[in-house]
Amino acid sequence: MTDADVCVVGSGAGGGPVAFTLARAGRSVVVLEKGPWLREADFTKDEIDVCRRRTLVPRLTDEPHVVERPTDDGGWEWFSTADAAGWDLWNACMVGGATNRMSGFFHRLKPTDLRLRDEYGPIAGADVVDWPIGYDDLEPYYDLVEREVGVSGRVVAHPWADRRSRPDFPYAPLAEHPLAAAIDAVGPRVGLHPFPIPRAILPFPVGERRGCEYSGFCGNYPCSSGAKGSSRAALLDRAIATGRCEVRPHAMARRIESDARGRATAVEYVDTRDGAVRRVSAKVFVVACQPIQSARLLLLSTGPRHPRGLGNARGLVGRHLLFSTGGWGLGRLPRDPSPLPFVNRAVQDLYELDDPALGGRAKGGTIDLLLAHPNPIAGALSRVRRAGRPLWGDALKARLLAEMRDSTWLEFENFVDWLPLPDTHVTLSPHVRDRFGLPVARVRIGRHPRHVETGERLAAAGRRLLEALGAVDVVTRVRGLPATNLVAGGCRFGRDPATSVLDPDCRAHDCENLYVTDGGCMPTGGSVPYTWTIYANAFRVADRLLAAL
Amino acid sequence: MHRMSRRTFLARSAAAAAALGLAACARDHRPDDRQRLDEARWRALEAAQDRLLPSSPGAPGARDVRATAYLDAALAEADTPAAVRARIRDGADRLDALAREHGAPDFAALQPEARDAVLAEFFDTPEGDRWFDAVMPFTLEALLGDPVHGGNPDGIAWDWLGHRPGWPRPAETRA
Repeated sequence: MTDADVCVVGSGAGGGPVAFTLARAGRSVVVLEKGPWLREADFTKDEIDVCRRRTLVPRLTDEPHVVERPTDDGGWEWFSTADAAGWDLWNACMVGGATNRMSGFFHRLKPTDLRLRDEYGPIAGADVVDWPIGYDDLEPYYDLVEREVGVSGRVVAHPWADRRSRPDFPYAPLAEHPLAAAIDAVGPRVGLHPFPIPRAILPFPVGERRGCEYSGFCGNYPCSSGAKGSSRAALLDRAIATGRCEVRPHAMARRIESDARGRATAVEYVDTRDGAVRRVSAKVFVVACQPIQSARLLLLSTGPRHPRGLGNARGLVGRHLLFSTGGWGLGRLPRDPSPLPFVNRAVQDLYELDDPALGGRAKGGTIDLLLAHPNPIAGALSRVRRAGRPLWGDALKARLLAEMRDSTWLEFENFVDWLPLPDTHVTLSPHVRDRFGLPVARVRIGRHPRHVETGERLAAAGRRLLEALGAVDVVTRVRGLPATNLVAGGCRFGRDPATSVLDPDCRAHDCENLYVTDGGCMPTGGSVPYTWTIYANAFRVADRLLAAL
Repeated sequence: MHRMSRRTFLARSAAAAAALGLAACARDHRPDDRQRLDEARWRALEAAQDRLLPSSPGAPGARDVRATAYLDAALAEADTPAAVRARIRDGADRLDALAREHGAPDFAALQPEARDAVLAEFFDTPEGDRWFDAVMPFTLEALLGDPVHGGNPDGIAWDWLGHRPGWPRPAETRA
């Protein structure tokens, strides 16, 4: 007898669909979550608590990461994030994971994203490979996410519109800020086709979840109405209602035990409140605690048949970690008094580029348009230097008035593929341990010139659009740095055990009862935020896992 | 139902840990490092914050949002890195030292224009530049944070900037 049929480590976009699907199919599930179990009534829009303190993430002196980055002379330097202001690779440790804090800008991958190598050929310095599944394998699950997680939107024709099995979204689009209509009107004048961004936000109440209350403060803030499609609100609460799913908060998995045959047998976890060590046994184990931490857990999980860690017979766990990149821009418009927080427009006309400097046809990306985040402290802090020099006194106050009281800022964010690089990966730090005594994840973050080349082309288009809208003081930034809230890769799936950690069902090649269902399986990222794809793939794997149980 | 803030959240975690005799497990505190500001440093920081965010009619400044009391409390918080605490205190000492070079007993004794000159001189040094980066976040938190944290009384700075806070707001008052 095992404690449960399935033990899921992590409760975010990768874990929620598995717990939901299996519990509803009559299987018993235990979900281990390192963070606390907070609910709608616990959440406020308090910038200091939510965004400026370590309320939802571990304190970095307790649990840092080690980051390795390239030096100018071609070497690598490392530092602990406990010692480096501005670096943090935690997103959210809480039931529901980072889906609590997402903005819920939902885009599907394009069919070509799953076969980039075939479509665009190799890129020097990168390890681009095709996915072992195609868009048609994922499409039914993108569709399922629209209904089960709740995606609101409106289908309009544009050159890169998604191939869909249903004509439109199950939930009507959210009310829009007047700038949305202005963007729609101006786009074609600069050769762009803006379209409404689907949002994982309910426009009206459904079940136990309330509809969106248009409070703003969406990105970064756990949703107090339940409208945002977090794994917790949309899936886990309903999984628990079956009576077959148990969520254990404050439970940090530190090792997956395996037997002499190589099968996983139990997860050993630490109660983060009292330090007690406990175990859960199960028939099948699903790891979904965010790609960096999932890789770390597998590497820590050595056993008689797995001396280098679970899934790591070929030394591939942690390799080809992906972020997202592309840069951003913003421009200033006269203050628009509308209280509606959502602009919800994106542009994908540059999803493919045709540029001799890039060798002809090449992958481009997505431009999302949004109002600048309303956080006032962060907004003011971003204005305390001018030309690099401290700005203070009456000059600072005058700037805050002009730029915050009297202006509305429209922003764009570019989403460009972070190429799979041989020098972007996760290993265990030999130097730094966390407060539990475990080696922390050491994340090497490489660079590739294509990140900047692609981002610059998108930024030029974003600038054109902002200027056509009449924006002034337009600024763009493309530096090829990683967006650390968008992480994938590290446990590639593929058909060949020599080049991949997981099989096409996201089961470890070298451990038959171990699955990874967060974004870790993704060999390439696609030029959009990952959440919809992680949800959809986890639903797909849950069906495969159920069939194999 | 109540809304959990960082304060209740941390208080609960600490209580749970303390009940099990494990408070030290999760905290990196050194008690001496978390003391409140002494009087001299309070005076210097208050005088400096008053120039970083001066008060003017209809436009709140550091004085109006109790920025020094806020800073004092924030420096004692476990979330505040030890390096930041040290940098802010050392900067207060440095401002007094610079003031003495100008013949004043301390920084707070200077007239506003002279304080500005000393601050500008300080900001031209790497130490002063880093001090600015350490002190501005707490000063602006006092200005633009929710009043529940002790600054921005009645949301006066939100009104000044035409800022509409999100809801729900934290419901508790600071004990």
